[in-house]
Amino acid sequence: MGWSMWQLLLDRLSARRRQHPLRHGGLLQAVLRRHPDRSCTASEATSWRLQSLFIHYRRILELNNTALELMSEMERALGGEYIFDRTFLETSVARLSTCVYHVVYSLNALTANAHVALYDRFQEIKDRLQQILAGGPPLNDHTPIISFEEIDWDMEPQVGLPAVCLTQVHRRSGTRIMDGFVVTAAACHVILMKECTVSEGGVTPDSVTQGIREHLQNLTGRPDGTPDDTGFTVSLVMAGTPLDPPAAIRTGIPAPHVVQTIHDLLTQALSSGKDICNLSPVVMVQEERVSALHGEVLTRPSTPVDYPSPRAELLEVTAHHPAAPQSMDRYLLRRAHPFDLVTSEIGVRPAGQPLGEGPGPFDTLPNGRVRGSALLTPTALRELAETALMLERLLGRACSMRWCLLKDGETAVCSVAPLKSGEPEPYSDMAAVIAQAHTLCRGGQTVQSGAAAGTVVHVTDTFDPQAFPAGAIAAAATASPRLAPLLQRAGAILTAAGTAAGHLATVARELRVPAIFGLPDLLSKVPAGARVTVDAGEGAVYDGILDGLLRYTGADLDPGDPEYRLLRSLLRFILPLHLVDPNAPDFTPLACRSYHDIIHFCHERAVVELANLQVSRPGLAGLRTRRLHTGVPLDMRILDIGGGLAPETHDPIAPDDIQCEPLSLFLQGLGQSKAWDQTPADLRLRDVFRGMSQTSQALNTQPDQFAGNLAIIAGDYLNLSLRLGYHFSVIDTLLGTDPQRNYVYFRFVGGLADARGRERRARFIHHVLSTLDFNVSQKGDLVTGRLKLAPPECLREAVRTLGVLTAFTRQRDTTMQSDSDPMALFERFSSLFLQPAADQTGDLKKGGPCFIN
Amino acid sequence: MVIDDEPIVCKRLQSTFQKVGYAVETFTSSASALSRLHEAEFDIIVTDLKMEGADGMQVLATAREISPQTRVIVITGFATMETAKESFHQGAFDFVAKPFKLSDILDCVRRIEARLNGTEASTADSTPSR
Repeated sequence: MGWSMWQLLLDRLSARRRQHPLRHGGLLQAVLRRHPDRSCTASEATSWRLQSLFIHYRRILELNNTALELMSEMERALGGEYIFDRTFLETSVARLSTCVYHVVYSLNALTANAHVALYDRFQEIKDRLQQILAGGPPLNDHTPIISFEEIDWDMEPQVGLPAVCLTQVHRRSGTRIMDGFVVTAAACHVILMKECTVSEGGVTPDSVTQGIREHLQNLTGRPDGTPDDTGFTVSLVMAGTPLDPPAAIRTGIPAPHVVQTIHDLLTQALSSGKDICNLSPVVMVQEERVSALHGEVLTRPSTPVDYPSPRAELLEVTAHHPAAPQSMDRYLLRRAHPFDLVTSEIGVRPAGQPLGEGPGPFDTLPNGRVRGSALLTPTALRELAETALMLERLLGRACSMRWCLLKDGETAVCSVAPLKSGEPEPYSDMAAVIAQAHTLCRGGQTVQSGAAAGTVVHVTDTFDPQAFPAGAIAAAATASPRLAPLLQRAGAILTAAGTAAGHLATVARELRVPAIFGLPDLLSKVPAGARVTVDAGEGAVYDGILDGLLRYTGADLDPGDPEYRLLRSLLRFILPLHLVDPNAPDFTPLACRSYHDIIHFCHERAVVELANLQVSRPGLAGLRTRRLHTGVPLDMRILDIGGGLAPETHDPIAPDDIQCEPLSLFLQGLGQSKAWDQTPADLRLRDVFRGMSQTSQALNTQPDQFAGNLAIIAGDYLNLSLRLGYHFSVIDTLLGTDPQRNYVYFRFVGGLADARGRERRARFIHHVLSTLDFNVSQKGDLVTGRLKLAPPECLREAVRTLGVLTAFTRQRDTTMQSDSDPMALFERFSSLFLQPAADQTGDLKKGGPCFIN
Repeated sequence: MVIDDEPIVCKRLQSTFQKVGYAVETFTSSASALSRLHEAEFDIIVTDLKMEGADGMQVLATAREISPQTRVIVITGFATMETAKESFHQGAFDFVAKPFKLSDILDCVRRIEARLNGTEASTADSTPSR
């Protein structure tokens, strides 16, 4: 049943009007103030206010969903599945902005303007997006120097694509890179405009110089910035033309000369006659280290090769000693995993020249062969090929990767640069290759276009990412987010189920790993160990290695396309979610840096507002409620706002009358006899509890009035406020048809014991909630848990278990004598109520696949 | 023939069609495209609707006039029921709203090819032979 609350409310009111025309017929008229001869009762007005709040709440949920769908659509466009144009980007930003604005408005309407600051944040982000669409840099991007470790995808306009690719490879795969920093486009602009003393962002030539010196010191750990062994490499890159090679490179620059070298490079570029300012120059400064070997990987060989395969199917690796560049090894490898060596030319070198650690050139290896004088082993070649192809994917075109073997035996990537376009793609050959290929599997959704080939490995959630052969093709039953670490090593990923809007899809797009989700019968049609070629853009998996297809990327959207870069720049202020912890002190409007942050903030705050409704809205005391017969010593009253109760009900309401699924689940848990049986046998406390309950009842003697324990219900919604003795708990949950919107919120506070006892009980509850996958926070005796984006059965089981917990936790604070008690109690609770279904027998009701109570 | 004033659309459509064996010419100016229409005959035209100078409707009308057997697919980022109706009224084979999937436009072109070859029913999984 969908959560059409407004419609349900109106239906409900209409039904009441039909049943009691005199009593309810004037309700809407009275509220709308259109009927002069009827006055609105306090109860009716409160009811109307409540309905209004729920309308705003529902609107936030709907708008959140729409915004997320729009964001997902924009992000999916990045994957290359869609052909889009500038109009699409402009329209998407406009629609998204409208949506986010209304989310902000609805939250403020819901909370009596408690979050007005959000309007400012919204406007600021909207202005940035407009600025990007207008062709200018995002506002306030004036950071002069950025170290490699700080660089992320969204900084590409400031630092250039090569720096982003280099740092992403390091971050994602752990590959060592020669560390450094970037003098950003903003800082280079300041240097070029020497006549300016102060730029828009407060950056001056002096502050840039100072920043460079500080970063040099940070790199070397020395006050004067002098490196341990050699100097620095200084490269000038044009961020505005990301697929051009570096404009200039200087190597071996001593630290004291780095600043001058940067100035010289920029000045030379300025005097070259190019419109350098529009090309967004940036300068990369990297440390240099003494190395045992140097070399390069070209993902498209530099010269025609003496081998039957077209060079488009190969990649080239070179290696040489630093002191003997003329004595160079050249290796050609297949581009497909496992990157077999197809031919090599070994340089002539003097007898006795060391080859590094291990056996000498005439020594026999375990495989019976002589070592030979090649500088690189097959394993080293494979690792270099894997890294270079990962960089090629990130860049979106063939590239050159410079590398070195350091004295400590570790290989490091020094730089990456795109190669200039080569010969035209072999279109005619391609069509013939595809026509002759045997298709193993076709269909699904393209998540990230591109081609890859290799051996298929079937994987599950628990697959060790380090055990995954780099470059192989991962095939899984579902697109679980837990597979994301595999993408650092996979050549492509295929799944039988899953959507292009999930987390795994996002990571695949970020790393530009070819991906198809939702391929029918994948695991049977594409067996483990098969050698296949994936053409993600076509949604096809072909039998065997189609080398030519691997070089075919013309139809893909790549980082060189202005639209790709524009979309990526826009997404920088739309997609990232920085505010992940609702309990963090910086979970505030001021900390919102993207549209995603804003709608997430609004959603979280709306849920909290609803959860606190019965406390923050004392006017609810005027509502008409009905008593529920729970069958346990708990007085509970019901306020149905639509679809929560059967049309004909008993008086008091019986459990069978309840059509609200969350409340039914809660009552199932609450009714577990073992939860009540486990109550500590302390008669005095039991009397206290009964006394509290009776007191509560005594305070609510009017049969139609609000009671201490109130459940506001709809067909798939429950807002339950419980006051058991001295502790209070709130459950706010939605279990509708849209899994993206469903959630369970739980809060517990208070007790009869002293602070220590209450805190220990809270710790026990914390354990239980964590086991149920809640995101839990605890402060003293206050425990808050949130569960969302979980499988429906787990959400249902969580609500049912909260029912058990409600019964089980009564008075527990008074029995918590030591710090070990919370864990002991948790183990007892776990053994009784949290065991897998197969372990449970007896009178306990079988639960879902997660737990049983 | 592919006509769109946004180079990215021309580039990606050209690559997509060439990959499966079609010969493709692209134009970012409708004037150049119309001029070319007088020189050569095309089986299929994929044209944007809103362009500087002659718009997609004019391209459609010209193509129908010069080469009635040429099939025209109209693509647009400003899709409305009215523009779709108008396109079909003018004789467009199909009307595709941007953004669209590569596979969608390819299916559309393959359907036209099947009609032209008289093999519509049996070409669902075939690869074009051009």
